[in-house]
Amino acid sequence: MAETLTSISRYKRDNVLEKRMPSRLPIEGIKYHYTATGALNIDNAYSIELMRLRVRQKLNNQFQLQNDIVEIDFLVKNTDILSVIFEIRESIIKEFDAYNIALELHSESNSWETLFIVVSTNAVWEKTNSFINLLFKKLFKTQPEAISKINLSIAPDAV
Amino acid sequence: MPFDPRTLIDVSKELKGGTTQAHVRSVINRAYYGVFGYLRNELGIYSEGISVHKEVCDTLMRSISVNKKIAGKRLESLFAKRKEADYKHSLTFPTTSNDHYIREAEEIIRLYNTPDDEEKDY
Repeated sequence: MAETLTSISRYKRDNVLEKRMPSRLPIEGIKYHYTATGALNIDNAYSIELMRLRVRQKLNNQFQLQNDIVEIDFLVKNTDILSVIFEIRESIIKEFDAYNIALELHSESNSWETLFIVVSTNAVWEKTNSFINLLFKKLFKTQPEAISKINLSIAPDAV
Repeated sequence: MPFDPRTLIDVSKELKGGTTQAHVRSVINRAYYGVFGYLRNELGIYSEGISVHKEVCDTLMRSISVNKKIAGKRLESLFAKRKEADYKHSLTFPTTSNDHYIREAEEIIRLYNTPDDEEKDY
């Protein structure tokens, strides 16, 4: 059954809805419904565009996008990883010179989709290797759900 | 004596002096299949087809060992790079990055074979 969120307050006082849809995406006017398996489906093109707009605003040009739609749509479906990719970006910038940080969705099938944070850098392998191991070690502990949807790729010697 | 897939990484090393796109793409391909084949055998996964790559990565990521989980993520990353090297002909791979992919493959094997409590400092 389709529903319409008219306000954040309505969203918050509806306990059932809050349980089904964690505190994310309370955007006015967005029509959505849940499938039999519990997946969130956005109902119309207008709503999808609103969602894309919100994700683009959040990204704020901090990442280069390989494609203007697929990475955004992946984030629309997985808004829980938005804060994690910014956390990773901050770590990358602190740790070494990266002259480009991009998002690329690798999709083998619907059941194997991973959003890669692609870091172009001239940093030596030893440094990126140590960074990746420490970062993953931390994320497997603090973000076990998110880490299943994202990955890191180093583009070495890219000019 | 059964074939040891890790010897494919040795072939990568033989190719790494090459300066063409064919060389660097072959280096990535052989490095990936060297580590993938080794881990697939280690994990006893004998299915075939595209899903076997996912199965190996997923099995590693479901492991209790953090090092094996990290090996799974890094194998997934090398898999994605191998796909690009094999199929995305519009891309140019810097030939100076040959060593990077060989070391990636070797690091994944090292992570897989290192118990967590022996990993003091990356």
